[in-house]
Amino acid sequence: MASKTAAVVLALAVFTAIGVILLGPVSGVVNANTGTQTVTNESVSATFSDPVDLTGYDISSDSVTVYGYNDSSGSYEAAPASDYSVNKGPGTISFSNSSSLIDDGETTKVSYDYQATGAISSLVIGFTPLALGLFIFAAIANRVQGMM
Amino acid sequence: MDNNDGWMGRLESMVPGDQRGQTGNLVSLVIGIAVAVIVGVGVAIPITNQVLNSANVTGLTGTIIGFIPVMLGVLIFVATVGPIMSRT
Repeated sequence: MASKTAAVVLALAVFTAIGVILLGPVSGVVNANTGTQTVTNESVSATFSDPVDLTGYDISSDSVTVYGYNDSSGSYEAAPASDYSVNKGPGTISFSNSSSLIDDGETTKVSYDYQATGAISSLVIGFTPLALGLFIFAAIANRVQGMM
Repeated sequence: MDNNDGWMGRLESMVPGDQRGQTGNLVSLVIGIAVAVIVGVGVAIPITNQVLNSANVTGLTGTIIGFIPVMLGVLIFVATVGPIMSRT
């Protein structure tokens, strides 16, 4: 049987390993869901009759670019602002039926920035990975202090 | 699950008596916190924000309802900090 000290060190090492491994996903989720997020080339099926939901909401002004498929050149190109309108709050886009670039039912690509969370929420949630790291540190420090 | 079974049980059996059982608790706790943060921040807050923005609520109601994501964030933060405070 291992000595008591070795057993405690081993147990804390397992705890630390699991904690640090989980720190990555936690930090990733926090970064991907707080503050200003950028969406690049989200595929949206253009429908003239109804607004289409975008993944994001609270969309930032002047950040929206819509790319329509140009049948002549065989590539995507930026559509003029008159071809679409964006309802920034709920994050919906309406396509104009007078567009010469975008056809009804055609797949377009939309790039934009949106505010995933407000400033206060971002500030509070941003400290969560730090708190998790502090928890791991404090748990180890507590045991180390108990051994001294 | 019985903690006496499996690698966790064997690991705990090597830990001195006064600290036995706490290793499993710590591991469970850190996993629980991580899951709570991932689900809370990755699912609950975005859905709440999406619904609030779609509802287009303004005025005092909008101000109060707008604090719901903040409170969710505080809840998750406190859930993360709580175990630190109780163990130090």
